[in-house]
Amino acid sequence: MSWSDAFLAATRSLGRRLGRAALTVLAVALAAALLSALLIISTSARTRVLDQLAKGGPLAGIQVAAAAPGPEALDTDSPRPGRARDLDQAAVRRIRRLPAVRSVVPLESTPILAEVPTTDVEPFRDTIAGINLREIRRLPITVIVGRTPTPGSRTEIAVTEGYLRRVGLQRSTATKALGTEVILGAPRIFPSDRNRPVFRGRWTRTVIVGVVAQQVLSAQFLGSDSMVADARAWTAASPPSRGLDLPTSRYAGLFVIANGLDQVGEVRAAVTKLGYSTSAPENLIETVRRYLRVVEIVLAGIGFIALAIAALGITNALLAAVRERRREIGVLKAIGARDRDVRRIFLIEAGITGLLGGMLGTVSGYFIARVLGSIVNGYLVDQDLPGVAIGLPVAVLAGGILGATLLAVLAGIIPAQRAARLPARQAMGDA
Amino acid sequence: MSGLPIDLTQVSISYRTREGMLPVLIDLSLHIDAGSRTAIMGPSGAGKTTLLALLGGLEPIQSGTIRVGDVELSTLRGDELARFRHETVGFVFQHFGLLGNLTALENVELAMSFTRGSTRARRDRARELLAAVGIEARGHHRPHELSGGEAQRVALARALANEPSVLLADEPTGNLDGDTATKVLDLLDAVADARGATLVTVTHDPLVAARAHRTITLRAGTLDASIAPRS
Repeated sequence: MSWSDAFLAATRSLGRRLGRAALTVLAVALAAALLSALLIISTSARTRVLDQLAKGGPLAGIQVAAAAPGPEALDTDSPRPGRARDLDQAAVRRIRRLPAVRSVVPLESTPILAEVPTTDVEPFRDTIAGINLREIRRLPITVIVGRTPTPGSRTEIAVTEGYLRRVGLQRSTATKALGTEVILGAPRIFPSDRNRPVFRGRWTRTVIVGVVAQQVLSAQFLGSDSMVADARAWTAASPPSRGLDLPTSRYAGLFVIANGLDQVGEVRAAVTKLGYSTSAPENLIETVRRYLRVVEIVLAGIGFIALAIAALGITNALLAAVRERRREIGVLKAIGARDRDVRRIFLIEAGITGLLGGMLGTVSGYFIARVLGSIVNGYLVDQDLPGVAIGLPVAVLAGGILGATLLAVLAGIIPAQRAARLPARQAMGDA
Repeated sequence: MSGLPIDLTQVSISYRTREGMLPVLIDLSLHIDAGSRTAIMGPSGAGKTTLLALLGGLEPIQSGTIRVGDVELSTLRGDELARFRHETVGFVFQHFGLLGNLTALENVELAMSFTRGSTRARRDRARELLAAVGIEARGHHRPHELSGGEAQRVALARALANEPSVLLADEPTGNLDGDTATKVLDLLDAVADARGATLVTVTHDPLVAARAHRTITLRAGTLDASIAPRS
């Protein structure tokens, strides 16, 4: 008997006992829905938690300070840096050449004076961090409102929540900061005749275009690398030892991304060997990953128990079908069916039940996860926290369908074997 | 298709029951001519249906030998036995034995699905067979939509699907009224004669037996009487 003939016989048989088949499919669907919803939610939660730990940046991110390694070096995620050590272009090139390094983003900073003309806030000293804004997606920076400055712009900046607090705003009212003007001054000391230094600023009118969640290099302002380089060059022209204490390092730090989370330790060790202090939340992330793995195993276990119960339902339904169809199976054998033909029909019936249940269940599970995700998001947004994004986990969906089908086929083995072994004499009724 | 002779030599069979072994056939020896029509009669429990099941390869042989043509049934195992049932034997059951989830046409086609062959050829052949038994127009009806006589005609068409040399009928008119039974028997005799098949019919009905060339009566698992072929 060909597979297509067996498939036809199996589908017709299921169609004849539509009520029972529908209930069996429903049981599988419920179990598959539970399993897939749990896995989708736990996967999304893991992504969200790890993202939070990595502060929105890549999990394999490593911060390199313009300092020599401290005594703790690689013992902790955030060791205390040692003495200052210049990070220049040559150091960046050496680090880029290290194995397992995907990218290196240099970070610059310079002290500035800030004046906010539209408020009563007194002018204050702070720092502006500069980066190549084309590479901002590689950094642990999350935009709360607005956008990041245009790459190369000398008039657009982003600010942090620290700035918002300084001007009397909160995260919920952050949009009010957008479009407001901040005048930034790069300080410089000029020598004078009276042996008293003269401070003069190089003032730039800037506009706030976005608010970001994280500070970069402890700065409350974020701008383009060219804007910061210009300001730094102006300040650096001051005579030495006149109170500005501008570091000699070209870069204030680097953000290095390893090829993967497993390579973070290797890259940190290599950078430390080059003589720079590094920090990365690798140990924390690994610990959290282990806990999350346990949670996932427990949730998957619950889902698999449900699927196992559904599989028992399939076995029970098929055993009942075998009991009811003894004569029919006997007739099949009387007209020439081999044991394996009968077995094939019952296994296909089980497989179809699992496939239909798996498809219905995993798709339902996905939508259940989305509904739950939106409820959780509502709560998180109320708490001023970033929401959870429920993606389309193709692997979970495909795995759910495939797993339900395989489990159903496994559940069908005993009934199929029992049917195949029924004597052909059953065609004539019980002896 | 041409009929095959059947030879039984000292065939015995018994079933295990709570009370012990129950003999059903005892040292039964019998010869059935190729192309003949034989009726098997006897009271309930005499072993008629068991004998038919043995002849059709539905029941394993416990002792003795059964030869259908050149084939010794006790030497066949598993797939060989399935092939024998498929290629050599056509069954007609009292309960028709049609699969309720298939149409009449599909029931006939099913009997041809255990050998290679195109779906189209199978369908054409099934139509021919339904036409031969006079119910081509009912091909797309399911068994529950057919009368008893129509269902038995479909069963007969299915039995003929693989051009069997031996036709085995177990109470073929047991569920039919008088007129319908006569028509089905006429048809059964006609197709058996036309194809030269050996026909063995188990029946309680003397009128059915009267149509056979020879009647064998079983009693308590032994041959009680064998009435010679009609003149």
